Parts: sequence; structure tokens; C-alpha cells
Amino acid sequence: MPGHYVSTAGRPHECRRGTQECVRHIGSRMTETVELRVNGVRVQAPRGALVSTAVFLAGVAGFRRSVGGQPRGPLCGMGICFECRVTINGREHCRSCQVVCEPGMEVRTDA
Amino acid sequence: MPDVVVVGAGPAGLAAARRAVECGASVTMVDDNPAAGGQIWRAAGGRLRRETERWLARAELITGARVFAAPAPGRLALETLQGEMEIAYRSLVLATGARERFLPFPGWTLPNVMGAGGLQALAKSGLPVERKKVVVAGCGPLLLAVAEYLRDHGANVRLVAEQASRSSLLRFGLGLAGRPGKLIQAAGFRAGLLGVRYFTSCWPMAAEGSEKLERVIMRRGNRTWSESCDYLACGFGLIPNVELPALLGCRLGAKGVAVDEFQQTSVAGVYCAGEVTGIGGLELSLVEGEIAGYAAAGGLEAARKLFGARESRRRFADGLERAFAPREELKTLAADDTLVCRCEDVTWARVRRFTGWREAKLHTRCGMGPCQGRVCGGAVEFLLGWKPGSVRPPVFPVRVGSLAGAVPSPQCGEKPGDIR
Amino acid sequence: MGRGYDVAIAGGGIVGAACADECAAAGLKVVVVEPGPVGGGATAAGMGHIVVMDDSPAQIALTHLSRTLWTELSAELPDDVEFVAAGTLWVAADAEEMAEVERKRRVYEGIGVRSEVLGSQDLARAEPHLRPGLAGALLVADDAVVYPPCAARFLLERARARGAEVRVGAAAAELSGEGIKLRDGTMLAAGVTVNATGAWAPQLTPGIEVRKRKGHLVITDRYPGWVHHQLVELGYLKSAHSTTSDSVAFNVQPRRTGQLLIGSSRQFGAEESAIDAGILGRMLRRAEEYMPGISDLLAVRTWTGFRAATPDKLPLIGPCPGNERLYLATGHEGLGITTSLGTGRLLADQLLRRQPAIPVEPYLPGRKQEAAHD
Repeated sequence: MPGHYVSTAGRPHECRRGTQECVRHIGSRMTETVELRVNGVRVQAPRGALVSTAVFLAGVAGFRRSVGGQPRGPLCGMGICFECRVTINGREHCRSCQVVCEPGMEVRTDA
Repeated sequence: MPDVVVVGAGPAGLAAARRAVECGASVTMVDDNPAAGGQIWRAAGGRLRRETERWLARAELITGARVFAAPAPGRLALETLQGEMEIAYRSLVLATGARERFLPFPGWTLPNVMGAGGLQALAKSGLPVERKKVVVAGCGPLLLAVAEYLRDHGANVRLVAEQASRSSLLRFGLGLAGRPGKLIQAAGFRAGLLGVRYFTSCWPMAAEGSEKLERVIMRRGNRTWSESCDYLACGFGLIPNVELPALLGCRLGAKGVAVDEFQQTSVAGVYCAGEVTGIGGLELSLVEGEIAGYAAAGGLEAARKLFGARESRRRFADGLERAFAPREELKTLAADDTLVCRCEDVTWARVRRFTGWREAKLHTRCGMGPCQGRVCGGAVEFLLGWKPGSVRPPVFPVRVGSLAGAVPSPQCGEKPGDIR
Repeated sequence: MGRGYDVAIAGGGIVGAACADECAAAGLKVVVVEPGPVGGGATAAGMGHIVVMDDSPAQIALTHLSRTLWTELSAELPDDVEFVAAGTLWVAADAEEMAEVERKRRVYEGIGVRSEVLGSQDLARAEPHLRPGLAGALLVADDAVVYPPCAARFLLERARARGAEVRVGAAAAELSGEGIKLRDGTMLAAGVTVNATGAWAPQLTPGIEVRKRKGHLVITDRYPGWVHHQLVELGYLKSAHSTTSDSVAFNVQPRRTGQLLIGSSRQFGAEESAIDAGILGRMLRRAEEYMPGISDLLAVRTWTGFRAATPDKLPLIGPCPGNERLYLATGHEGLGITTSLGTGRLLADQLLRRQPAIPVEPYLPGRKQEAAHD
């Protein structure tokens, strides 16, 4: 059923298995993953991956809206540009390229 | 209190920490990333382990910690995931590295337009690039490193566009840029890049797409053409991260923080090493780090032995900088409605009406957003010659609670309880 | 050419700009001299709070006049001045402060300023991020917030459109009754010279009783809707009155951008513009006491500024005793943005010998100044 994405060695694809089965399946093939949600959609990210990775895996390119309403995504990859900001577990303005994914995280990007 | 605190656990910082440890100093390293390695050794696994395993256990490493203020002499205030903490030091080594210089051009704010190092950093952290079309553009040997990394991870690198002219690269003696193989070998990259188009005198004119990048308009001489792509990895050189040294009162030179032969700044007991003293590449950063680490721990003789190596690496690095310097035509890329300040959405037309940085900031808020001018400042310095103003805390945005907690101690922290 | 200009104004901050605007509107030939960016002094550093302040009858008269002028002007202000009638909430922590709220309400009522007492629950509804357990507040709904540097620029541009000359990048070296002598030696002859240089005023007119009073501010990232009104604790005036010790007071402002401006602090004798971590910390902890959640907001920048403070807390607007051709328009302490427009009006009234909008005696230089409190 559509609803979650899986990353295998950097290759994302939509997963048609149920979550439990999927996790077992992947677990047997690759490094551990972490499950979190991006805009309500479940994402499996490799353990140790940054939240920005999870957002990309969810197929989102526009992480936030600028003050003028333009879509923006990460620019610098090193935590200085602030364009990758998302809301994590209710806290706004978190730089997704500086935060490691944790199980159960709720990540929200701007509409 | 640690003898030596090292801020920045990239190549220069790690080299400094290692030598200080070997001199018998107690060392604490601080880095804002989730793991050590800086930008170059991000997720580097093997090399990083080899470089650090023998001595890292004898030092303290605090990751995810960003220095934001210096509330009293000999003390730094840090923000970590847990909150605010302070750290005292006898000697300090600042190896805060460099960031990319971004220059504005139409469409540069679209999602999937990133820095060259930026795309590489994101890819190293898991951004999928396999079979994605990527154009790599801008200046410097970094473009080749990025192109190589992307190719190794299955990306379809369409083009590497270096804005410097062939003659500029030739002057440095990089070999005929028309035969990228020579250049690639000189810069130390594998033959795997052969077959990727490498153009000199080539740069992006515009990025286009509706909600994200779809294609880039490239220019080379009289020719312009469209390259359809998924990512544009575009950076115009590197800028040293001098903000923390400046906050501490270190004098700045033309290229970065000014240091003496022992890498000591104008502030006694504060040393700088690596890109922050001037862009010079990995090998120079390593030897500067070693000298700073020795000097900070009192090993002046050992430091002196490395002066020769530093000198030769510095000469190479200077030549490299000159060869790849951003050219005048790049000043004409921004259109009136191209944004210069991304944090506050300020256009080129509005910014250039003013006669100086302070005036422009006050009246447009350009440079007053969360990036604190780190993105637009480099552009504005190149486009208009405006130098950044003085630095105030927080050197990096932090929680109000962290700023509230940085209380100065009555004297330079001798109290063991303060050190965490 | 006779005397050149009618009025030469030293200082292109909000007070100088307002004076230029009023004088040019009255048909006078004006020149303004400003070394740094327009509005680059205390104008750039201040909060931009437009408030009727009831510290004394003279202060309430000047701030009330000024707020009325701002409200009348608001329709013409360009977007980047960001005028918002956010209103002020004077926050009472306990019953004693609620009594003070009631006193203030009567004072405002007496002069025709709209205000409303909010009880504890109404206050919590109006500002959910204030800590629970506060006693209430006085809402002064017509107070406003602006972005001062752009307001100063607007006023100067309007003056320019009416024939005023504005010389940015020119520094005044000497002020006399003859005009302004610039640092490069140029003499701008004028019938009347005005010192509107804020904290620097004593350098150009030695002997005037204006002292620098340092303040700190912090601005956060954007959190639209987190705060709706300018929030000021009732202890604010105690802090403003103190003539000796360093003090802080809770003072938080919502900007139209959604950013929060957090203040306020006061220090005498602090001549350096560097951030003082100790008083900054005290100021922020005071804010946390009133709004605990503020700790988690992202602080993006801090800065300092120097208010121009006089012993009796009232500005100097009028001619120097003994020199009818040298006027002062300075000493506005923390009310420079608000009272800039009233200052311009009263200055023009005096120059043109018009019936002043309000009595000018309390603001005349050369008045006997006793420290009002403390």
C-alpha cells in the first residue's frame, strides 16, 4: 500500500509491503533503519541519517517557504544557510541538515 | 580546565588536537556537527578512523555543540542539544573552517540548487543521487571532488563548468584544461572522471523550474544552452569562517584570521589553523593544525620543524586561489529582481541602491536574518566590495534560553565545577 | 545669498528627520547633516514602540501629542515602515501592581486616551504565552509599533520633496549660531542651527546635560502570532527612573515580520557598545519569568544602543539659553521614536513663533532640572 518509502543504499522506492513485513525484509538485507514521519507520511531512513535525508526520501524538494512565499530547499548542507528548516516534534526552525533522525520523529515542512 | 580547547573537529582541528595530546596536554574538542570530520571528512569512515584512533581516546570530543559567545576571557559559551554550557581554556585553537561563496543569479533560490560542497554534504548524509542528472558549476578544485563523489555514487554528472578561463588555469601550470585528464590528475582525482564534460570559461546564467529546479541555462563565450538536470551543485569558492575569531578580538588579514608563525592570533593564547586563516586546501590545513596544536601545548620546537612543509603547501594553495578566482562577468549575473538576501527576500535592485553594508542592512534588513549574513555577505562583498561589519554574540543563532544562561564568572574559571 | 539656509539640522536620525519634515512643510529652507546611515544611531537600535507614557504630565502631553501625529501619518507611511497599531499591555504581576493599573487607567481617561483593564483570565486569552498567575493588565489599544530607520528615511524623503537638502556622509564638526561647520571645513550658514544628534549632542554643544544610557535588545526568528501586543511590565518605569544602578525590565514586542524584540536594559557609565553578557542574561531571564516559553525561541541577533538621557527624563526642545540661534532637539531617552513627531512640531512652532501645539516650557533647555525620581 502506498504510504511509506524505503531507501536501500540511497535508492528510494515506494514500498508495497505492509510496514512490519517491510521492516523485517529490509532488516535482513541492509543496515538498520529508523522510522519517522514527514508530513504524516512514514519514511524509513538509514540509521544515522539526517532529517534532511528523510525529507528527500519523502519526495519533498521544497522544505520551507521564504518570507515572500517562495519554495526553498537546502543550499549549504553544513548548517549555515537556514534554508533547510523544518518543524521537528513541534519545534519550529530546526535545521534538518544538522539533526539525526530518531524513531517516531514528526517532521513537518511548510506547505 | 582543559589545557587546550579546539573548536572545529575537521582536518585542522583534529591535527591540532592530536599533536596537543601527544605533547601531554589535556584536550577538549568541540564541533557543531553530529560527528567529527568537518566538511571534507564527513562520513569518511576509513581515513577518519585511521587518523584518529590512536589518540582520540585520550581527548574529550563534544559533538553537536556550537560556540556562540565568549562571555569572559578564557571562557566560551556553547549550545548543545541538552542546553547551554560553558567551557574554560588555557589555550584555544580555532579551526572553524570555511563555507562556500554563493553568488546570486536568476533562479538560484529554487529547491535543488545547492552549493557544490552543499550537494556533496547532503549526499554523504543520504540524499539519493543515483541516476540523477547533476550539473556541477562554479569555481575551484572542489568542483572536481564533488563531481568525482557524485559519479562514484551513481549520479549522471552532465557537466563540470569552471568559470575560470583556460589561460588562468594554464598560468598556474595546471596543464591544458582542454585535456581535463591532466587537470584532474594534477588535482589528484581518479581517471573515472574522464568522459565528463569539463568546460572552462563556463558558468550558469539562470536556473529554471516551477516549484523546483528543472534545467540550468549555461553560458560559455557566445554560446548559451539549456541543460536539463535534477540538481545544480554550484559554489564560487570558499570563504573562511572568521566570525568566532573576530568575536574574540582576533585581527583579520586580507585572506582570513591573521596569525604568526606559530599560528597564534593577535590574542594571546588563541591560535587559528586551517581554512579560517585563508583558503588553502586539505594538506595546508593539516600542517597548520599540527603547528597550532604543538604551539598551544608548548611544543614550539616540534612546531618549528613543520614550518618548511607549511610554506611549500601555502605557495601551492596561493597559486590555486589565483587560478580559480571568480571573474568579473559573474558580477553581472543577478537581475534586478534576483534575490541577494534569501533570509529576508531582498532583491539586487534594492540592495545596490545603498552605499554601504550597514545602510543596506538597516533599510532592507538584508543580512539580518538567521544566516547572519553568511550567505549574502560573501555575495555582497564580491559584487559591491562591502566588508562585513563587527561581530556580536550570538555568533550563531541559539535559543533565547542559551543566551540567557551565559553568565560571566567573576574571574577566569578556576572552579572545577564549572567544567563539564 | 544672505544667510544660506533657514535651518541647519545636525543629525539625520528620527528626531532630526521629523524636525526637517516639519520645517520644510512650513516653507523653511532646510539642510540636514548626517555622517552615517540615515537613522543609524539610537533610531536603529530602539524598539520603535509608539506609546503614551504617563511618567509625568509633561511626558504624557508630549507622547500623547506625538502618538496622535503618528496615527494621522500612518496612512501615508510606506510598507517598509511596518506601522502596526499593536497596542500596549502594561502587565501587573500582583494586586499591588493592579492598583497601579487602575491609577494609570484614570490618568489616561483624564486626557482622553483609550484604555481598558484586563483581568487575569482576559489577559491569558489575549496573550497565551504569558505565564499563568499574573493579576491582569492595562490595554492601551492605540499604541503602535514601527520600524524606525525606514520611518526616518521616509520623513527625510518627504522633507527633500519639499525642498530640503539632505547631506548623508557629511559630519558636523562645530555648531554655532552661524550654522554648521562640517569636518571637511565647509560652512553651512543658517539662520538657526539645530542639534539633533542624540547621545552625541554634548560633543557638539558642550555643557548640555545629556548622558548616554546604554540599552540591549535581542531579536528572534519568526514566530507569527506568538505575541500580539507590546508587553511591558509595570516595573518598567522604575527601571527607567533609576539614575545610578544597572536595571532591566520585561519588555517584549511583536514585529510585523513575526519576530519578537526582547528588551529592555539600562546602564549609565557604559561607554562601549559591546554586548554585556551579564546584563543581557539578566534581561532575558526577566523575560523568561513573564513568558517561560520564550527560552525555546531562536535568538538571531543582539545589539546595543545609547539613549540620550536628561536628569528630569524630559527632552530638550528649544533654544539654548544665551544663544537664540542654536536650538536643541535631543535628550529623548527611551521615547525618541514616539516623541520625534511631537519634537518636530514643537521645534517648528518655536521657530515660526506659532502657538505651540502644547506648552513648551517643560522641554526648554536651561530649565531647572532636578532628577525626577531615585
